[in-house]
Amino acid sequence: MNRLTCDQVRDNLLERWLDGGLDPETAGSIRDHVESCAECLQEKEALEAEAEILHGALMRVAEERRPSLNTAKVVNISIVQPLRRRILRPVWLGLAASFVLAMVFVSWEKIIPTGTNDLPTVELASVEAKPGDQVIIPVRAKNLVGLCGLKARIRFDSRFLEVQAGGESLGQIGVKGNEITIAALSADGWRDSDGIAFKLPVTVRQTVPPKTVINLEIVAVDVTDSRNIKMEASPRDGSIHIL
Amino acid sequence: MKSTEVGVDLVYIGENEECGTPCHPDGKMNHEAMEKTDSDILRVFFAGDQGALETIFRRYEVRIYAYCRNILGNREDAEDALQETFLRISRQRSFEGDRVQAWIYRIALNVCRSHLRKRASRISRELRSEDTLPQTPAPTPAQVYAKQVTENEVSKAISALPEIQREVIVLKYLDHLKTPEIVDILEVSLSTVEGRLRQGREKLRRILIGSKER
Repeated sequence: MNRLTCDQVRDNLLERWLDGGLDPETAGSIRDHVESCAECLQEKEALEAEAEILHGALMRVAEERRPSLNTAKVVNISIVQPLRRRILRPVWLGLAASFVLAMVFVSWEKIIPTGTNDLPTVELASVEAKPGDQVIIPVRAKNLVGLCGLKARIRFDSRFLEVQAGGESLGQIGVKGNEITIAALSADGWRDSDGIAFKLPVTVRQTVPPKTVINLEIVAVDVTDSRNIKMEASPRDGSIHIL
Repeated sequence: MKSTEVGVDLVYIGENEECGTPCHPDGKMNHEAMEKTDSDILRVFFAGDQGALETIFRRYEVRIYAYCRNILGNREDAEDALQETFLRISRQRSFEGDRVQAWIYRIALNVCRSHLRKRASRISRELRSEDTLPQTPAPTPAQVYAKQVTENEVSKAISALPEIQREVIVLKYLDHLKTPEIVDILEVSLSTVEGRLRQGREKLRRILIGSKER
């Protein structure tokens, strides 16, 4: 192999070959040359060693990421307070949505006081979470005394949260698209005037940016007399059927 | 459809139905089909399954973080850039083609460029470092790395490169990308990528050998 060819190879072609930018024919010629030329082989090995050193240095910074993820980022899940509805037995209060009145932030699992009248309400507590966390959002239905059926529809942003549908001790959670349906039915009457507590399990997606506020919006609350009512809930599609 | 009633208790309907998306009856993710290609997963995502993006995120988060960290130079900005990258992806409506990696890197690249545009002082610092480099023939890799450079020294040298050279050096060596793949990401010609790679490598070697001689 003559010297000029080695100069050509080492001047430009060797790096371009290792970078993967040469056409197959030229790449084949370089490979043949390197396999038969000790000096060019040595140069190739030096370039490969350089690549490994650079790769190691560039990847080293990735190791620092996990600790910062666990300490630096917080996602607030806000509270939205719904309109209140009167109990009109035995018919539904209607399926029309109640919209947001106020948005309040509180600390972990703190329930917001909502006044002292006897109208039924549903409240969501706010939580703080990090991306990837599984958290329970406390939901409290208040002033549901007696034989009641409760259905609340809550809108959420599925880009940020994943909601676990399924059974809960007091009822069912269904998810369809961006809407959660919570349904509960009292068989023998709720007597706790402080209300009933419902646990809404959600997972905060890893892709949530830092300092994001995720709003959960209660769009409808329906309360009915539970006597002579049977309810079917499908956590698969979020529908609740009153029979 | 199966339907069961037990007194006034709530009961499930449709229990035996095929689970569509989004559907997580056991509380776990159902997007863990890691054998699927990135393109397949993105199609699921754009069909409405928001959770599919998490699979993509898990596949790329380390590399994209490392890319942003090496381009931007600090953890906070890199973390923000990583999140911004995936937020931008989440806002996309569609993806055509099968070069998902190039697409994600290109979004990260644009995010990083936006960050850097806000840093006029950094650019002037880069220009200064470029001006002060000795304009002698570039040392060979063997000459540079025979001197036991540390990863820290290499990181500092990479961060001292001009932005356009740093971009290609990081893309090339972080993920062992081939030059045609870098062409896809940067959307410039092959000769431009090769030129920047060559200049970047030479400058890197000069910086490293200079730091050893001082």
